[in-house]
Amino acid sequence: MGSGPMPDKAESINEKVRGTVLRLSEPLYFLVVDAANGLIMETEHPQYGRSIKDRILVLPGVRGGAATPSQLCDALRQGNGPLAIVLKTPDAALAAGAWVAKEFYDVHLPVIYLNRDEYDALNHGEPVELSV
Amino acid sequence: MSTGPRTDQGFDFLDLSCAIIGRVPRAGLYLDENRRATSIVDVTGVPESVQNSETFFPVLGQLLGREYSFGVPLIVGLEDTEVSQFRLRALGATASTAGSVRMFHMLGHTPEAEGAIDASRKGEIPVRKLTTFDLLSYTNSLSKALPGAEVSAVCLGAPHISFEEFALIADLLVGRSVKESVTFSATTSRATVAQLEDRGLREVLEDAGMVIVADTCSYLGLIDVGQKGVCMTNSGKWAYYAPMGYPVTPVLGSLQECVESAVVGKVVHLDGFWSDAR
Repeated sequence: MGSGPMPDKAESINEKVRGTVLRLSEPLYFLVVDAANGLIMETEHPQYGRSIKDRILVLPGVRGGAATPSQLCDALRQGNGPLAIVLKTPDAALAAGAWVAKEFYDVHLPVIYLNRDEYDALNHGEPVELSV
Repeated sequence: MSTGPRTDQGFDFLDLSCAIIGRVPRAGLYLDENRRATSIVDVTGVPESVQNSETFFPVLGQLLGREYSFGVPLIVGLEDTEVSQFRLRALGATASTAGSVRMFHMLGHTPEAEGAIDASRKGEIPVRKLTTFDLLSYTNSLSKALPGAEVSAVCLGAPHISFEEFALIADLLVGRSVKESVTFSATTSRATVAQLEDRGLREVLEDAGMVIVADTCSYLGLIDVGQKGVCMTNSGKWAYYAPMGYPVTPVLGSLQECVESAVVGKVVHLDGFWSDAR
């Protein structure tokens, strides 16, 4: 994307992330994730009331809101973001949020794309270790 | 939501980055292959009275968002229906609110609809024949009180109300005013407010009891325009989000029904939609 400097790839190679899976059955609307505690405040969401804080956030994608990157960034800034995000299809909004959090606040959030089988193998509540 | 220009939903940071370097990511809806229809939604079986009503569009958007998330639905069967840009906008906003639907096609109304089905895949795309029965649960999830219920607020503006819509509201309010017990508000852009002031419409609308607020939305917890109790809106997006932050019972209605409800102080439903789709 463009001709600017690429992110330092060496940084994210051979990295391991350990944590407990929070698996969302529906896409997330980040504008109603409370950045002050990581809680999902969308009452219609099946995982309403859960917190994304310090979880391996496994989700099918995001919905609505052009504010997704800044809201994710704000949660990360306050130490209430996830440890990693796992997707099965690339998502520009989440990638942008993670990238800016690194640039602005030096918070590193790996955004990982898995194939369907690998994605489906991540069960809610399980401790996992991911090699990035 | 795209209805013609080669674009994709913009996100903050990313949009600024694109503006700075003059390039966009080679991804998403910038690529032909991601703009092709993934499903066909045939609404031929929905009665004309419903197809022609304003409320059909946010309700159809809610269905698309819920059932076609991450897909590109192609809507067929509305070729002979009048579908204004406001109706397309209402459909798109609700679809992208209720699910991750960033693009839809509508045969006869959106520029890429004709070619939306890849020739080689014709016949392979799932076709869904929609009936009013399919719409009912989505109508009820966005509209939770019946005609006659006392209305405490009418909230317009998700997405922002346009100058044309304000002009229509002013026409509907001629010689009448908003009932004292009702807060009737519309959110819009400061550019539209300036346009209203230029034409003297802001004063007309405010004299009739309307509250106009610039550069925000009334479902985000940022402004107080009486969001409590039964609230009318013409926006599926508003009806979906507002109950998450306010103690409100949302009720959908067309722009005209919203104005009537603001004047009468009770839910007024006039459209064929409410008798034929419910």
